[in-house]
Amino acid sequence: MTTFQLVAIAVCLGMALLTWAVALQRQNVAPRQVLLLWGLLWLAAAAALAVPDAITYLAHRLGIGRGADVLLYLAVLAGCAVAFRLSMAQRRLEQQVTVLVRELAIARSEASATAPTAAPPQTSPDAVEAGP
Amino acid sequence: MPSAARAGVFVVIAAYREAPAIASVVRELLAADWPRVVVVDDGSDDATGAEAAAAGAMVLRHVLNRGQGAALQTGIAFALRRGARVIVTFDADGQHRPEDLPGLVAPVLCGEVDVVLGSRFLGHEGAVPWRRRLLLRAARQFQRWTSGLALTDAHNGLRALSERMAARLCLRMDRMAHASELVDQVALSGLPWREVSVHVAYTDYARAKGQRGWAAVRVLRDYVVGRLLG
Repeated sequence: MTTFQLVAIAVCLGMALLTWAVALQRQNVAPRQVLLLWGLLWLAAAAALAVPDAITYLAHRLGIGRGADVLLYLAVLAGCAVAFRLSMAQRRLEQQVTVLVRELAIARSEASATAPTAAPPQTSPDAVEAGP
Repeated sequence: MPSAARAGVFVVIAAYREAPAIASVVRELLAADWPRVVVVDDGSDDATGAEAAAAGAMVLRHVLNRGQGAALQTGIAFALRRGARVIVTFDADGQHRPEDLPGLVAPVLCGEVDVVLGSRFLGHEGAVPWRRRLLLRAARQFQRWTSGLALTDAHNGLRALSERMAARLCLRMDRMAHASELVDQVALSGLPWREVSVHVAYTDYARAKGQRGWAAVRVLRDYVVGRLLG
């Protein structure tokens, strides 16, 4: 076993343990399951490093020539999954921003309606910059 | 229509960078005796909000641009909190006419229906550019397929909603797809609706400001993604 293998396996095992440790801290089921899955992935990476022939064997069974190609395809799939999850998170965030912007708009209008003599809140960035 | 009834009618306008047009739109509505005009300034970087306020509208301001759907939902939420009985959505670019409002509002006020949708194609009023007409025909067909409502127009911004319908409305498609989402929610509510012929003026300003035909692709994408993911 080469030095690279030893170091990489140690790193992967460490990451797996770390992920699971974090997963156990989580209260919500959904993020915990995702973290457990990531832990498994790190474990699989460690196993593949320890027995490189296993991936070549898997590649042959799947009808893909080389082990490196299997890894490439898996990486692309994982990339797509990550992109999808991120765009979901982005969507949720956008909707939350809209709710905040809406509540702020209504709250400010109600504040100015109850105190008509008060100066209107400075909302324009230009107005702020115009100061000395 | 008596003034007391009109006081319960809130005209909600979502406006983004409409400083050149918004004041006259607001003034025309007030002059036509619609005293409650709510303009939601959707994070404009021009004087839209100030112009609307000077013209006599109640102005709400989004500190960030969130899109027309988001702005309308804000105006509707505000109007409901102020005790609106009927909510009219009206475009900021001057393409709608205040003269169409009595016909739009009356069926809701007297309780016949909960939703009145303006249509450019009932009664062949106004000239719709032919390319826009083709696009709208496709949109109408799509709308029939997705919502089940057989409307004669699609994405017309002039509508009247009862308090009951407005309270159920939850527009989550922040940008232009909200117009389809609204029709879906009307269909889902099962509340009675009607179409009324309205005039839409394709002025040079409105055409320059308005959506290009290709924007329909983005609207479609927003709608499909929104329907699938909620």
